[in-house]
Amino acid sequence: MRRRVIDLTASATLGRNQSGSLVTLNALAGLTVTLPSASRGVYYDFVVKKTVTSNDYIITTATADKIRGTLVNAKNNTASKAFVATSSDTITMNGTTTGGLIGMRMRLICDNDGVWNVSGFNTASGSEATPFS
Amino acid sequence: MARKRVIDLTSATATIGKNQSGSLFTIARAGGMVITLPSAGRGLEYEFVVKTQATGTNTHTINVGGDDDRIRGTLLLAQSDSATGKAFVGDGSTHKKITLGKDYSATGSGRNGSYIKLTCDNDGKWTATGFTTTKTGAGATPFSA
Repeated sequence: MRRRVIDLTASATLGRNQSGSLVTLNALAGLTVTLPSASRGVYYDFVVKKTVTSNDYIITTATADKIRGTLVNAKNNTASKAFVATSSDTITMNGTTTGGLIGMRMRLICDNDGVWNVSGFNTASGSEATPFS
Repeated sequence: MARKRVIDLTSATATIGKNQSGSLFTIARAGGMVITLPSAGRGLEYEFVVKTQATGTNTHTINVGGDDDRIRGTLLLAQSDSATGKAFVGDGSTHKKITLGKDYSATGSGRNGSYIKLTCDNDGKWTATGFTTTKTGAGATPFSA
Protein backbone atom coordinates (compact mmCIF):
# COMPACT_ATOMS: atom_id res chain seq x y z
CA MET A 1 0.00 0.00 0.00
CA ARG A 2 1.46 3.32 -1.02
CA ARG A 3 0.32 6.78 -0.08
CA ARG A 4 -0.93 9.05 -2.80
CA VAL A 5 1.54 11.94 -3.11
CA ILE A 6 0.57 15.39 -4.36
CA ASP A 7 3.44 17.75 -5.19
CA LEU A 8 2.45 21.38 -4.91
CA THR A 9 4.62 23.90 -6.71
CA ALA A 10 1.96 26.61 -6.81
CA SER A 11 -1.04 27.66 -4.78
CA ALA A 12 -3.83 25.12 -4.83
CA THR A 13 -7.17 24.16 -3.39
CA LEU A 14 -7.39 20.60 -2.18
CA GLY A 15 -10.35 18.40 -2.92
CA ARG A 16 -12.11 16.04 -0.56
CA ASN A 17 -11.40 13.27 -3.04
CA GLN A 18 -7.69 13.84 -2.26
CA SER A 19 -8.20 12.94 1.39
CA GLY A 20 -5.48 10.64 2.70
CA SER A 21 -2.81 12.12 0.48
CA LEU A 22 0.65 13.20 1.41
CA VAL A 23 1.00 16.79 0.17
CA THR A 24 4.46 18.20 -0.44
CA LEU A 25 5.09 21.94 -0.26
CA ASN A 26 7.61 22.58 -2.96
CA ALA A 27 7.97 26.25 -3.88
CA LEU A 28 10.87 28.49 -2.89
CA ALA A 29 8.62 31.53 -3.31
CA GLY A 30 5.91 30.01 -1.13
CA LEU A 31 2.33 29.11 -1.88
CA THR A 32 -1.11 28.97 -0.33
CA VAL A 33 -3.06 25.77 0.21
CA THR A 34 -6.78 26.12 0.70
CA LEU A 35 -8.48 23.21 2.42
CA PRO A 36 -11.88 22.03 1.28
CA SER A 37 -14.86 22.65 3.50
CA ALA A 38 -14.26 20.61 6.64
CA SER A 39 -15.94 17.24 6.52
CA ARG A 40 -15.85 14.36 8.95
CA GLY A 41 -12.94 11.99 8.32
CA VAL A 42 -11.12 14.00 5.67
CA TYR A 43 -7.38 14.28 6.33
CA TYR A 44 -4.11 15.31 4.73
CA ASP A 45 -0.46 15.05 5.69
CA PHE A 46 1.86 17.89 4.71
CA VAL A 47 5.63 17.88 4.40
CA VAL A 48 8.01 20.61 3.30
CA LYS A 49 10.20 19.65 0.39
CA LYS A 50 11.81 23.08 -0.09
CA THR A 51 12.18 25.77 2.54
CA VAL A 52 10.78 29.07 1.35
CA THR A 53 13.27 31.80 0.55
CA SER A 54 10.58 34.44 0.13
CA ASN A 55 6.96 34.75 1.13
CA ASP A 56 5.32 31.96 3.14
CA TYR A 57 3.72 28.57 3.05
CA ILE A 58 0.14 29.20 4.08
CA ILE A 59 -2.54 26.64 4.83
CA THR A 60 -5.96 28.14 5.21
CA THR A 61 -9.46 26.88 5.72
CA ALA A 62 -12.53 27.38 3.65
CA THR A 63 -14.91 30.03 4.87
CA ALA A 64 -15.86 29.75 8.55
CA ASP A 65 -13.91 26.55 9.22
CA LYS A 66 -11.48 26.56 12.13
CA ILE A 67 -8.21 24.90 13.08
CA ARG A 68 -7.34 23.65 16.52
CA GLY A 69 -4.55 21.50 17.84
CA THR A 70 -0.83 21.56 18.50
CA LEU A 71 2.30 22.03 16.47
CA VAL A 72 5.66 21.50 18.10
CA ASN A 73 8.15 23.92 16.65
CA ALA A 74 11.35 21.96 16.48
CA LYS A 75 14.95 23.14 16.23
CA ASN A 76 17.74 20.65 15.97
CA ASN A 77 19.28 19.67 19.29
CA THR A 78 17.13 22.19 21.11
CA ALA A 79 14.27 21.99 23.57
CA SER A 80 11.06 22.21 21.62
CA LYS A 81 8.25 24.71 21.91
CA ALA A 82 4.59 23.95 21.40
CA PHE A 83 2.01 26.26 19.88
CA VAL A 84 -1.67 25.61 20.33
CA ALA A 85 -4.55 26.73 18.18
CA THR A 86 -8.07 26.88 19.56
CA SER A 87 -9.90 28.83 16.91
CA SER A 88 -7.49 29.68 14.14
CA ASP A 89 -8.15 29.53 10.45
CA THR A 90 -4.64 29.93 9.02
CA ILE A 91 -1.23 28.34 9.45
CA THR A 92 1.62 30.49 8.19
CA MET A 93 5.16 29.18 7.88
CA ASN A 94 7.74 31.76 6.94
CA GLY A 95 10.74 29.48 6.63
CA THR A 96 12.29 30.70 9.88
CA THR A 97 10.55 31.63 13.13
CA THR A 98 7.10 30.26 12.31
CA GLY A 99 8.53 27.12 10.79
CA GLY A 100 8.18 25.45 7.45
CA LEU A 101 11.77 24.31 7.08
CA ILE A 102 12.60 21.04 5.42
CA GLY A 103 11.54 18.31 7.79
CA MET A 104 8.21 19.83 8.76
CA ARG A 105 5.42 17.32 8.87
CA MET A 106 1.86 17.90 10.03
CA ARG A 107 -1.51 16.23 9.77
CA LEU A 108 -4.81 18.02 9.47
CA ILE A 109 -7.82 15.85 10.12
CA CYS A 110 -11.44 16.75 10.39
CA ASP A 111 -13.26 14.90 13.13
CA ASN A 112 -16.37 16.96 12.89
CA ASP A 113 -17.83 19.40 10.44
CA GLY A 114 -16.28 22.79 10.71
CA VAL A 115 -13.09 21.99 12.59
CA TRP A 116 -9.67 20.73 11.51
CA ASN A 117 -7.41 19.18 14.10
CA VAL A 118 -3.72 19.74 13.53
CA SER A 119 -0.74 17.91 14.95
CA GLY A 120 2.88 17.53 14.01
CA PHE A 121 6.40 18.86 14.06
CA ASN A 122 7.06 22.21 12.48
CA THR A 123 10.78 22.62 11.92
CA ALA A 124 11.82 26.21 12.66
CA SER A 125 14.77 28.48 13.30
CA GLY A 126 15.46 31.68 15.21
CA SER A 127 13.11 32.94 17.89
CA GLU A 128 10.12 30.69 17.46
CA ALA A 129 6.68 32.21 17.02
CA THR A 130 3.21 30.85 16.53
CA PRO A 131 2.24 29.81 13.02
CA PHE A 132 -1.46 30.15 13.89
CA SER A 133 -3.65 33.13 13.18
CA MET B 1 -12.52 -0.79 10.99
CA ALA B 2 -9.16 -0.92 9.25
CA ARG B 3 -6.26 -2.63 10.95
CA LYS B 4 -2.58 -2.19 10.30
CA ARG B 5 -0.50 -5.10 9.21
CA VAL B 6 1.94 -5.80 12.04
CA ILE B 7 5.32 -7.40 11.41
CA ASP B 8 7.51 -8.45 14.34
CA LEU B 9 11.24 -8.03 13.82
CA THR B 10 13.30 -10.19 16.15
CA SER B 11 16.44 -11.05 14.17
CA ALA B 12 19.78 -9.28 14.07
CA THR B 13 19.08 -8.02 10.55
CA ALA B 14 15.96 -7.29 8.58
CA THR B 15 15.37 -5.97 5.08
CA ILE B 16 12.07 -4.28 4.49
CA GLY B 17 10.20 -4.82 1.23
CA LYS B 18 8.28 -2.29 -0.80
CA ASN B 19 5.31 -4.64 -0.66
CA GLN B 20 5.30 -4.18 3.12
CA SER B 21 4.49 -0.49 2.81
CA GLY B 22 1.79 0.55 5.26
CA SER B 23 2.90 -1.93 7.90
CA LEU B 24 3.72 -1.43 11.54
CA PHE B 25 7.02 -3.05 12.49
CA THR B 26 7.83 -3.96 16.04
CA ILE B 27 11.51 -3.94 16.96
CA ALA B 28 12.23 -6.54 19.59
CA ARG B 29 15.76 -7.68 20.25
CA ALA B 30 17.84 -6.81 23.27
CA GLY B 31 20.99 -7.44 21.26
CA GLY B 32 19.98 -4.76 18.79
CA MET B 33 19.28 -5.07 15.09
CA VAL B 34 20.02 -3.53 11.73
CA ILE B 35 16.99 -2.71 9.60
CA THR B 36 17.43 -1.80 5.95
CA LEU B 37 14.72 0.08 4.11
CA PRO B 38 13.99 -0.58 0.45
CA SER B 39 15.17 1.94 -2.11
CA ALA B 40 13.09 5.05 -1.57
CA GLY B 41 9.93 5.07 -3.67
CA ARG B 42 7.14 7.57 -3.90
CA GLY B 43 4.37 6.91 -1.40
CA LEU B 44 6.10 4.20 0.62
CA GLU B 45 5.37 4.42 4.33
CA TYR B 46 6.46 2.41 7.36
CA GLU B 47 5.93 2.72 11.08
CA PHE B 48 8.26 1.34 13.72
CA VAL B 49 7.81 0.88 17.44
CA VAL B 50 10.43 -0.32 19.86
CA LYS B 51 9.10 -3.29 21.76
CA THR B 52 12.38 -4.51 23.24
CA GLN B 53 15.02 -1.82 23.65
CA ALA B 54 18.62 -2.50 22.91
CA THR B 55 20.69 -3.12 26.00
CA GLY B 56 24.23 -2.20 26.93
CA THR B 57 26.08 -0.77 23.97
CA ASN B 58 23.79 -2.44 21.45
CA THR B 59 21.69 -0.34 19.13
CA HIS B 60 18.77 -0.60 16.78
CA THR B 61 19.53 1.07 13.48
CA ILE B 62 17.35 1.90 10.51
CA ASN B 63 19.36 2.40 7.32
CA VAL B 64 18.32 3.67 3.93
CA GLY B 65 18.43 1.13 1.14
CA GLY B 66 19.57 3.16 -1.82
CA ASP B 67 23.06 4.65 -2.06
CA ASP B 68 21.63 8.09 -2.76
CA ASP B 69 18.70 7.91 -0.36
CA ARG B 70 18.58 10.32 2.56
CA ILE B 71 16.48 11.00 5.68
CA ARG B 72 14.99 14.30 6.74
CA GLY B 73 12.39 15.14 9.35
CA THR B 74 12.05 15.52 13.07
CA LEU B 75 12.23 13.11 15.97
CA LEU B 76 11.37 14.40 19.40
CA LEU B 77 13.31 12.87 22.27
CA ALA B 78 10.88 12.44 25.12
CA GLN B 79 11.65 11.95 28.77
CA SER B 80 8.74 11.12 31.01
CA ASP B 81 7.62 13.91 33.31
CA SER B 82 10.10 16.28 31.72
CA ALA B 83 9.10 19.82 30.87
CA THR B 84 10.40 19.80 27.36
CA GLY B 85 11.23 17.38 24.64
CA LYS B 86 14.35 17.88 22.62
CA ALA B 87 14.03 17.87 18.86
CA PHE B 88 16.51 16.35 16.47
CA VAL B 89 16.27 17.12 12.78
CA GLY B 90 17.42 14.98 9.90
CA ASP B 91 18.99 17.14 7.24
CA GLY B 92 17.96 15.22 4.15
CA SER B 93 21.38 15.76 2.60
CA THR B 94 23.85 13.66 4.59
CA HIS B 95 21.72 11.61 6.97
CA LYS B 96 21.23 8.00 5.99
CA LYS B 97 20.70 6.28 9.30
CA ILE B 98 18.65 6.43 12.50
CA THR B 99 20.29 4.87 15.55
CA LEU B 100 18.50 4.05 18.75
CA GLY B 101 20.53 3.08 21.76
CA LYS B 102 19.47 3.12 25.35
CA ASP B 103 19.41 6.40 27.23
CA TYR B 104 22.21 8.89 27.03
CA SER B 105 25.02 7.80 24.79
CA ALA B 106 26.77 8.78 21.60
CA THR B 107 23.67 7.73 19.71
CA GLY B 108 20.02 8.54 19.88
CA SER B 109 17.96 6.82 22.50
CA GLY B 110 15.06 4.53 21.82
CA ARG B 111 13.55 2.91 24.84
CA ASN B 112 10.43 0.81 24.61
CA GLY B 113 7.57 2.82 23.21
CA SER B 114 9.65 4.83 20.80
CA TYR B 115 7.70 5.42 17.60
CA ILE B 116 9.00 6.43 14.19
CA LYS B 117 7.12 6.88 10.94
CA LEU B 118 9.05 7.05 7.69
CA THR B 119 7.34 8.24 4.55
CA CYS B 120 8.80 8.72 1.11
CA ASP B 121 7.27 11.76 -0.52
CA ASN B 122 9.62 11.75 -3.42
CA ASP B 123 12.18 9.33 -4.73
CA GLY B 124 15.33 9.50 -2.70
CA LYS B 125 14.00 11.19 0.43
CA TRP B 126 12.45 9.72 3.54
CA THR B 127 10.66 12.01 5.97
CA ALA B 128 10.89 10.85 9.58
CA THR B 129 8.51 11.85 12.30
CA GLY B 130 7.89 10.50 15.77
CA PHE B 131 9.01 10.22 19.34
CA THR B 132 12.01 8.49 20.76
CA THR B 133 12.35 8.01 24.46
CA THR B 134 15.01 8.21 27.10
CA LYS B 135 15.14 7.83 30.83
CA THR B 136 18.09 10.01 31.62
CA GLY B 137 20.42 12.46 30.02
CA ALA B 138 20.29 15.16 27.40
CA GLY B 139 20.32 12.77 24.51
CA ALA B 140 22.11 12.83 21.20
CA THR B 141 20.90 12.97 17.65
CA PRO B 142 19.72 9.67 16.24
CA PHE B 143 20.52 10.88 12.70
CA SER B 144 23.86 10.20 11.07
CA ALA B 145 25.52 9.65 7.73
